[in-house]
Amino acid sequence: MKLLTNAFLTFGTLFFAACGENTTNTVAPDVSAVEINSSDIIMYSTDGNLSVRAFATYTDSAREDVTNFVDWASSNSSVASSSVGVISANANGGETNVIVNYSNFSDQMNVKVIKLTSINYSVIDTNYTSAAQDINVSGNFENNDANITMNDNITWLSDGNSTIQESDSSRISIIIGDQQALLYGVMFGAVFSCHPISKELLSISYSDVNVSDLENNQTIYIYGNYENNETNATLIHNILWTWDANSTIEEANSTAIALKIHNVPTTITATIFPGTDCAKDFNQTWQ
Amino acid sequence: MKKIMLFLLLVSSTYAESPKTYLGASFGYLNENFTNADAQASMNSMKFKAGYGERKAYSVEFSLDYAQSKAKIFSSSNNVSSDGDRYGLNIDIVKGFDFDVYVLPFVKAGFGAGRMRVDRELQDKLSYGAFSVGAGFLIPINEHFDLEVVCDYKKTSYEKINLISSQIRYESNLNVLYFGFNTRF
Repeated sequence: MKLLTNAFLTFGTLFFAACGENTTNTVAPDVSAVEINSSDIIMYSTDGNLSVRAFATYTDSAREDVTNFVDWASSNSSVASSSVGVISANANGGETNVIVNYSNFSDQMNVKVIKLTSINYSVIDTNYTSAAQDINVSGNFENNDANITMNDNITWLSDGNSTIQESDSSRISIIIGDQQALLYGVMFGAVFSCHPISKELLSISYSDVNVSDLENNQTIYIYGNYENNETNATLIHNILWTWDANSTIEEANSTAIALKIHNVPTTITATIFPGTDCAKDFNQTWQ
Repeated sequence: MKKIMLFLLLVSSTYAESPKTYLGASFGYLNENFTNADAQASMNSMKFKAGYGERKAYSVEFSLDYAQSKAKIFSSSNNVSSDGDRYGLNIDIVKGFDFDVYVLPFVKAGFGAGRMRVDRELQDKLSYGAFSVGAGFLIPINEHFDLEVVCDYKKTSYEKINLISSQIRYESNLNVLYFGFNTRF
């Protein structure tokens, strides 16, 4: 009993000696803000992923990287998306806001994706068909920035008359054939541009035509005049033929057409790479 | 009707032996020192309890305590001057002794859990758990009433505070001195 009483008295004395004080300044730090560590950014649509970080600041002035802990979102993810601080362009041009959220904290930054307007292709030897050649490509953008190295978001396809051995966004290693060939740049799931990589057809020559023969089909031989003074050559291009009301092309192949003239003057049109951005018309009129 | 009569007889016979069930209320003063922070809190505390057992032997107590914090340790808002209300629920085993003096000393041990209101950006309450030991004595007034004086020590561990990329857990040593009365029936 004596021991218990002494213990009780000791405890009570210590208790009252320690009593009465209250901490009045917050001891446990708290979050005061969550911010993205970057101002607004401008990126080319062919740029690779960009990284930004989110930081929390605390009431004790400390600062911590919270990139992996906050929620990332984009106000228009069809333009650009963000995930754990990684921003990726999803369209060829546009503007969006990247937003971070954590509970009541939020911050945002503007992201502008600059549109690619055209592509520059390096020249290759169109007569060299036995091995791969490199085509170096660069981009021209809507803000007039030209010859910009493209890092991402563009892939390359060929039309079957050539073979892509390997490629990245800025270089294509390709073996060309002896027929017309097209190279397609594909961005965000759609063909952005086509580029003819076979030798350039400058004009088409025709054998003689009797314009006074309005009764019979006439066989007219056709030849291609290509770059490097290659004239009267067999056409390597597939051609879509169209004609006006004064004549009819009854039949056509790579070396000749069967033409029936109803009246003069008459004009026929040869279109190479029909249906593509590379389409080119060659007109021929007889009168 | 028979069953009711038998039940009432059983209950009355239970109370007829000696009062084992008791209710109590206490008023006390609480002092808390944090072990991993330079912080201290002192405040008044109230406790309501229900127990079952004998004064001079073992009993079990369930108690609900309440305190209004006067310290600002967790709350960060400028809108408040202190942390908020804290409620706790405790279970204790009490062992009483009879040394044939006027008071009946006892020791107790138990555990509990509670919740304290705070005003933080990411949390508005913090839970805590505690293990407690204590000692005190009862002053019997008669068979049905007694006064008590108790000193409790609690080892308290709070819910982690959220700092987004990290979390901090605070722990404290908490002493409470209670004065109260019990009614036994």
